[in-house]
Amino acid sequence: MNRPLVWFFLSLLCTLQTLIGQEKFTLYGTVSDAASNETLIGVTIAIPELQAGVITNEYGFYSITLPQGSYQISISSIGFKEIIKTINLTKDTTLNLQLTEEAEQLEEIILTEDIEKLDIRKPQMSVNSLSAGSIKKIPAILGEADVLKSILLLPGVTSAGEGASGFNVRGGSVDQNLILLDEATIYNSSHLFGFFSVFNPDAIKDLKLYKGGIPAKYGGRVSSVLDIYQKEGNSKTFKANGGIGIVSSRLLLEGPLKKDQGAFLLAGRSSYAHLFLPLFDNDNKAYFYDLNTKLNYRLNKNNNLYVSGYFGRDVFSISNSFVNTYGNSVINLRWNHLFSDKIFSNLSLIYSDYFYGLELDFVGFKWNSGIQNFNVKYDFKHYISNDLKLNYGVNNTYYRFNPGEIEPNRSDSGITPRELINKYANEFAAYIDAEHKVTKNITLQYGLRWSNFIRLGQEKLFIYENDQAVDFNSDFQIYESAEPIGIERFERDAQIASFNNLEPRLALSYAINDLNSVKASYNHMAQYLHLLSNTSSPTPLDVWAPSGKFIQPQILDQFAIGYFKNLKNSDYSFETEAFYKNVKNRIDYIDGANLIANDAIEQVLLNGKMRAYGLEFMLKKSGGNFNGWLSYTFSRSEQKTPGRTALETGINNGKWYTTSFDKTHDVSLNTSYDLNEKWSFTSNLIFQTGQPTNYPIGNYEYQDLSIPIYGERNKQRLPSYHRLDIAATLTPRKNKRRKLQSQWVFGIYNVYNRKNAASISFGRNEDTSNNEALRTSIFGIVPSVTYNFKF
Amino acid sequence: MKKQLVYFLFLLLLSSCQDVIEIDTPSTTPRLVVDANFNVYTNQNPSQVEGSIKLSLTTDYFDIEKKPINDAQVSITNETDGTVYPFTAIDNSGNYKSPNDSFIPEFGNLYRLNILYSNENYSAETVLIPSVPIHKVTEGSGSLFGNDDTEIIVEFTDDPSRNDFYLFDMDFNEFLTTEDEFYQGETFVFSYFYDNLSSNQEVTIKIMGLEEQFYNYMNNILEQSGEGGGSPFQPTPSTIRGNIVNTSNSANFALGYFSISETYAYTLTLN
Repeated sequence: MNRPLVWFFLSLLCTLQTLIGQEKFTLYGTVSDAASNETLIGVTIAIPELQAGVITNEYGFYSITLPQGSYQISISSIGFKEIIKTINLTKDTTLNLQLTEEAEQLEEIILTEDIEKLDIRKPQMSVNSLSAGSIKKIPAILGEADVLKSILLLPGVTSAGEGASGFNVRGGSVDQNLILLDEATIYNSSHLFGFFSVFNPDAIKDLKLYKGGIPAKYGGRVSSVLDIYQKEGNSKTFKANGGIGIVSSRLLLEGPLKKDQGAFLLAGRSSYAHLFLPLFDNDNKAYFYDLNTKLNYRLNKNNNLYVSGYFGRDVFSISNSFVNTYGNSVINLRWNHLFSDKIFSNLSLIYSDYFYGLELDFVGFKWNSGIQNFNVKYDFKHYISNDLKLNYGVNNTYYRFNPGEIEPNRSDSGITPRELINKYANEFAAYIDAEHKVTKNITLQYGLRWSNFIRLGQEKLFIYENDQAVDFNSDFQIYESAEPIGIERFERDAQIASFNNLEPRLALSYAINDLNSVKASYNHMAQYLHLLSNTSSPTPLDVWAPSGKFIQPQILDQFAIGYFKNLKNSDYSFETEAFYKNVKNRIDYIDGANLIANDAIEQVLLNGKMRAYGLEFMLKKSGGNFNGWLSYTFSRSEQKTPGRTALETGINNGKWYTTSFDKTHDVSLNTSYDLNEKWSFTSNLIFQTGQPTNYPIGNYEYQDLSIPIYGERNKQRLPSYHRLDIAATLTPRKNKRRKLQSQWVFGIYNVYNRKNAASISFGRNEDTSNNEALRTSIFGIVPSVTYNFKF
Repeated sequence: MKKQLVYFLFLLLLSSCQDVIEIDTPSTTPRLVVDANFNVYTNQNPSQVEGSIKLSLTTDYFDIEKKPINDAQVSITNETDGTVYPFTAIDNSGNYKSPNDSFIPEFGNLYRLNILYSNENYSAETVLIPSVPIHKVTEGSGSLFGNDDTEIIVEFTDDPSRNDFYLFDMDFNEFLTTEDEFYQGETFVFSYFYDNLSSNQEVTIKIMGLEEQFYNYMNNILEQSGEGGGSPFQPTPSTIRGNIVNTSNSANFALGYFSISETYAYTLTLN
């Protein structure tokens, strides 16, 4: 970072000291749900008289420092009854608060809260949050409420198509999203290739998606942060809820470990074992399951302990000759500690692992690959004054990468056991981030993250002439793997490569008045891990590779500006943002690169770059019987890999080409209407420009095969994508009088049965021997019914 | 193969949702295509050679009419001893053969293909690449994706002294590439599944030795010729360049490949 910026930070911090001086006391505590003791995130504690306020953090904690005096405070959160309390502040005071839900129904399922109400004065921009309630209300394919499919309705978020895994934020790729489940990194967010996400909506309390202006607390991925918090469990009474759907069934159990002090939560979800049985006439299985667990225990006023776990797997098995298993597992131990009424801290110890296993009996081998990491982080939130809050902390992650192990699966197999070279790395980061109200109308959030990545020693590393692992064959104008000229061996504690990056973040909000504000942000970030994937959407067997001697870290610069407006009693809000981002060192692949079981991955990689820009609009209505949002995104996402010298062609002749998930126009309209206590309705209407694709520009025959010729990359587009989904929720009236409460959700996905092309492929018709274009559409009209219960 | 499996699975999930559509594809200027593969059966005495040189021009993707080239001057030179084998057009389908099949490649020689077409010279070089015999091919009783499957089991022993790249011609225009990285020097057995074969049908399996560049080329060709289409798990396609160089005008490059493979075949009659 340059020197003026450092001075800027320092001088800002200094001006604060002068503001602190008169007799002040701190009001602090936790806000929770009266029915379950579940802590509540994002609750506003406002002191209208002083025009001051604070919002509860991820653990429900708040702290605010006020001059001595008597105040009326209001505690409010959408979906809960507002509390007005008068307090006389004469000393530092603990005030734990409990809110009661407005509608006494199936609170997890009824819409309690829409997208977060717009906070005009907060500099944080480019963020969307959704509650589990909102997610469950959105009509979903086969009635499976889905976290990732829900966020695709937000501006700036797309995917490479209906069956594609993961999601793309502001033109970034899938591996550039940091996905955190209770602070632990999740490496693969999809079940069944991408049809469903790995998060059980029953177990989730809240999620936040940062598309830009990412605070210094987060790092390691350059595009976005999806921060998901699991529910803690009910420490008042034992509760169960669940659902039975077409694809899967769910059950969640929660209850006190010790009343009002500790709770457990156990949530399981499993799809049916023969999910796509009609398509097979053999002994086949295709299913997924996941398990979420959480324990929390309040040791005393200042200390809380949490244990969270996640375990999920997908299993495919065909006639026992093909068995494929993959999934994430996470275990996480956290300790919340209050150092003082103003300093909240959280220490996390996390183990996270992604496993991919494959057994192919017909060629006689077993294969597994994966990534494991151990992560320690210590985060502090320091409520210095009403005008200044600091977040600071450290984070260390140790990685082990297993690019693959192969072994024979039976004694007569010719396969020789072999382990590809394991890779190791350590990533350390320290950060400080300030939320600083400079004047009544100007608020700043600025921070700095220092990240250090060390590629640790591995058994062996190939050496190449001039350190070039890829050669360009000028005769045939193709890239080829270079022959190693030697092997270097390392001890585990040796450093093969080391990178340091200073990552400044800056966000500013200027409130024009109570209803209008403009915001701007800049973030600079580094990403040291790369998912090796040369397909339009990542597959479960793609492996992660660390930066090192041959792979440079991805470096992002993103700028965004926005205008935010609240209309008419704040029920309506409007926001628009423009962004531009630039990623250096985006890896690209030589044609025909084999990324799996490749011990020298550097031999197929080229160094490129990426850029994206766009404009996002969102109009929301929250509150009332009728609510929802309309979002529109205009954007472009491109990649470029020039030749390393003037003689080389690069990829796509060194020209910019659109990424496979680029969508020029993306519109979605989500509405929800509560007719009465019994019925409520929701709908989605979606329109998107078709994704880039490639049509052959010619054809020839070679060895009696029909070979297409392709020109420049991603020049054509699939037809426009659009569809309408609707859902109706029936909550029977008799619920009120009984313990078992039930609910039916009826849905229709793609109501007008549009055959949206997921891809257009080209090949020779077996009968006529003529070439033809084949359209694959994934979902036509799909009706569904889901039964949810709770007791 | 590993990635193909993923989209094979994926397709299986979606097999019912495909339909043929009309599309206008772009056009481009035609290029020369050279299909020059020779299979050498060294276990015969003298060695038997199968193959020809086939020349054509590329067409638009949906053109039904092919564009064979019959007026090129074609020869292969044994660069090691200087012998020139002229090739002449034998019909109007663009096939060129050496008279009396005198072209019998041997190990240790460098062969150069020379083509003069439309006042431009094209050339390519290759050597005879060794292979290994197939021990046996048997019919199995297993099935992978349906009861109409026919399983055949192929067994061969890899040569421990070198890194091998193989192409299996599984008959019926089905091909399979494999390299010995994970079974170096071992006897390797694998199953292959056919759809809808009738009983008493003859199946001939061939194993050919490939140089690494040709192995990569075949992988790309097989991937782009339509196998595994229709899933998001395909790499972005591109023009696949072979080993033919236009020495007069490098920008007007030709497509296709010149290769010579030692080959072993095994014929099985199904029960």
